[in-house]
Amino acid sequence: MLAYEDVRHAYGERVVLDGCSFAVARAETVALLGPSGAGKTTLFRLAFGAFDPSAGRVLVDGTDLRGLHGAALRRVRSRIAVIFQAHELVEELSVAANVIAGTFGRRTTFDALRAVLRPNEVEQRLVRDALEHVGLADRAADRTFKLSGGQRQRVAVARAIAQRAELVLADEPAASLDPALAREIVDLLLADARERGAALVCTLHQPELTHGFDRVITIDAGRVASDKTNAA
Amino acid sequence: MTETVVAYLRDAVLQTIGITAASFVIAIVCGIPLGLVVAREDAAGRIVSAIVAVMRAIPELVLAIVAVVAVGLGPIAGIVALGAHYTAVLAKFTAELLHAVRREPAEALRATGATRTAAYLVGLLPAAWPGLVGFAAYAIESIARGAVIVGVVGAGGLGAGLIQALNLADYRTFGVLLAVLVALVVAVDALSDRLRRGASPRNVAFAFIAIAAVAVVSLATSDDPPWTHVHGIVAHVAGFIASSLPPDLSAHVLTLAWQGVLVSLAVAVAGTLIGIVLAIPFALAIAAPLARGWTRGTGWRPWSWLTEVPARFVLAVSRATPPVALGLIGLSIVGLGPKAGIFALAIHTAGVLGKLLAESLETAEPGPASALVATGSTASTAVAFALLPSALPSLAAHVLYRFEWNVRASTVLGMIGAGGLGQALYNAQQLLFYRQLATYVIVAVLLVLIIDAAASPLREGLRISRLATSADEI
Repeated sequence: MLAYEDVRHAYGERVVLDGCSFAVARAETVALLGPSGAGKTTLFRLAFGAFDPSAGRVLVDGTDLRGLHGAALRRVRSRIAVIFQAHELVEELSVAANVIAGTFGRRTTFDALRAVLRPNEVEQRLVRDALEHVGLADRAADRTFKLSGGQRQRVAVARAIAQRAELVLADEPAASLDPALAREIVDLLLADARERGAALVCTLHQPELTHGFDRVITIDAGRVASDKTNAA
Repeated sequence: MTETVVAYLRDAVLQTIGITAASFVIAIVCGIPLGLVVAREDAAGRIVSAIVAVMRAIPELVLAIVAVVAVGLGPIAGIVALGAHYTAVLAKFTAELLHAVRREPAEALRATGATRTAAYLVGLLPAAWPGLVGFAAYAIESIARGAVIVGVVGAGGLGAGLIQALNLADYRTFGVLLAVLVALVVAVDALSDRLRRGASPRNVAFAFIAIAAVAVVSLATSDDPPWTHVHGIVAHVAGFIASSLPPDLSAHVLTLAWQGVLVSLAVAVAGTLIGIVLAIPFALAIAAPLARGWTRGTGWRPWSWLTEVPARFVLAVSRATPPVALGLIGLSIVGLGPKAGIFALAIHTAGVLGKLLAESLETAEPGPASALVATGSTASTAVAFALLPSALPSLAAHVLYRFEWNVRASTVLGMIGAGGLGQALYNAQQLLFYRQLATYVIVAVLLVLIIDAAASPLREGLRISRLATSADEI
């Protein structure tokens, strides 16, 4: 589903990825561990083609992202859901609007606006289901800035669920949450991936949260330090 | 009042409203897209940005005087001048707003494959919306002020009657016109205030359509609909440009320009300083820290309605009266020359800064002040050590912007006889010395650009985003 082949990347002088290679199969769940600054976030940004790597290849379902742009890049992106570390929700809009925004990759500009302003029956059900999944069904009409940090994280998860992507990338979904809540979010992601047969890649700080993932890959100094199948 | 005065008044008010509405519609329709271009920061963006900077630097009345020469007397000149100026103002604001708003939510939508337009409309616009609506509301207030004064140089609207009444020493008509003018500005202020508060997208769209309709109706029903003049304007403009090039750079003209610059600067400095001094007691009279409760038990009652209501009224009137109208009053009190300009700027500055100072004191974080009061300090100590420090940076920025604004205004005041660069400019226009006129316009633009550039390191030092104060800037 997602493959990194000898990927190198540097921001100016600072080398972040230094020959990183691994692949994630369809429906596989992978936890990425590593200290901050190890290059995990860069790996994610490469996966949806935010920029090209300095060297090496990033493949999504066999398609090299290098040089891809316009509608072709959008098609790839619509198959990948990204949960950003800072959520990156549109604070001023309702929770429901943020969830429906997950489907923008399959919509024209006009259709995207219509879905936000006048969602039809199907879209309303999609939002309701996604929010029920994360336990926020009663907050659909609330403005997003009213939510707590943990609730925002769950809206970001709901947006990813609504996208019905084949690959979900979650960047530190458990950061800044208390341990019980962190486990809850990770379990939500795992359950959704299992249910839909989607692949999940999740960067984490705490090793104890890797429980339940198929594989645990540790990144250090821009390369894969260890790659283990999870016994549990 | 005689029937002719009433008829004249009706026509002038309609025309002023028409100029305001039409200029506003032009500024929104042209300014926001241009701002999007500036925000792109590519080659095209930089070129547009430079043009916008120059357009903004030309004071409205200077633009109006040029527009009168170029397209002829009447409201079209006013619309051209104000439309062009506020297009530039809105373009700059839009670009700065897009800079200040977080882009990450839009980028997150891009990552899901959303189209660029959808990502910006859904991810960026909601965050930018309140700022944009607030600024548009400020813009329409400023345009209304501009529209009542462009008549002074013959660009239609109430200003023409104002200057005529003054020339005929008909102070009663002058008084009536001035009252109508202030009422008009206050009405627009109230309207824009409402717009700012209840700004659902639907209301805003409705208001915009209504304003556009007002523009058409009021101009069409006035005695002198502008589109009857449109033919021949192009040839006229071409002729004007030909006759004003190249600018007259003789030693004589440059000396006059330099002397004008010095006088205009002096007027701006004096007007700003006196305005600050006048503003302080009024601001203290209307600031209501008591409302927040932290002064309870300190024995200090900083306001009561007895001082607050009159103080608010005085500030509102002095703010609502355009400096040019104040200048005309100043001329009749202190006579021709820079003193009239200082009078006008001091009163107007006091009105604007008084309100901003009061707002700064009211919105300053009350926590530290309450903490001091809780330890038993007096209210005045709390104001000095807790309220003022947090309000000071934004105040300093407001003063700085007021000064820049006053430099522009002092040039304008010269045109009605308050000395300085504006006087030289007006004389050149009246005597049809268009090459001299070109020189003075260029000097006026350079003056504003230089002051702006000189102030920008100060602004950076104050760590005030230009956005925070640019609503006040216009």
